[in-house]
Amino acid sequence: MNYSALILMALLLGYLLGRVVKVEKRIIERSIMITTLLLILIIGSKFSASGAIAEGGAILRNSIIISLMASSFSVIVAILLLRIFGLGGGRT
Amino acid sequence: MKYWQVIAVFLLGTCVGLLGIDLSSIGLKGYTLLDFVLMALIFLIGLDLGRMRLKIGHRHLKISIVLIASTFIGSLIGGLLCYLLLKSPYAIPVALGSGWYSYTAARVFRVSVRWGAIALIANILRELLCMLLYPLTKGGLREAFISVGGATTMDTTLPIIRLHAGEETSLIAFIHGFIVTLLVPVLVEAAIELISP
Repeated sequence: MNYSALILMALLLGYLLGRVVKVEKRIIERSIMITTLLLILIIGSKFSASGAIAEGGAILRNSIIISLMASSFSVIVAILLLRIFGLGGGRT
Repeated sequence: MKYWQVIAVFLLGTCVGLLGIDLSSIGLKGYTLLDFVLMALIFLIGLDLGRMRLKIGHRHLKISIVLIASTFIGSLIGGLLCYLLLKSPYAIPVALGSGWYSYTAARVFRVSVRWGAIALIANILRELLCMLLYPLTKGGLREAFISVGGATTMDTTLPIIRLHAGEETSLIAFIHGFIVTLLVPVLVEAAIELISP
């Protein structure tokens, strides 16, 4: 099955169950925290196992430059547009 | 969740990976451990949203649309600057990948093996940047910073956003991530078509 469809199904199933069954906020938050930490552990292993650290040279350098540039400009544009449309963007 | 916990667990994962163990590749019947954990997380986020009985309002949609535009405009500007800096047009589709490393790497790999590897690492790094820096954001920046996560804000970075910015922002992040995920294949493909000789 399509990945996006699976994600949407999991979310919908959870959402519908959340509306019907009463679950304590503390239990949900604790569960989210544990699974998030497990996810970060998996991503960390994927990152180093991909050879990114061992590569060390030009590939890693180019990757860092692209990810930093794309991320920085995305945030800058987001802040500007959110301010232009009066939707926030750094104002507290 | 404390920031040091995120860093410590990430470093632990890195050590495991350096030993040659890629936890994401452990699987069962075609699904990996990463898939199972992701589905569990998304289910829990859905449960949380259902419990809160939040409704998608005009403000959520407006912010989501602005953030989707920001993600792609910012990635395009970053990609174009990297094109000039690194002297390779493949920087543009890599940047437009917006954190979706599996798709972008596989697609770019078909035209350049070297840039396929860069696409994988650059987009994993983008996801990591969001995971590691999001807890440090404050106030209105929490919404703008969703753009860094790109496509991953509908799955892997969603719980970090939920834990640090609350239910309403996590709803915006999910809508953003979902639409970005739908648009990434179209934009990456268009960029590759345009730069191909």
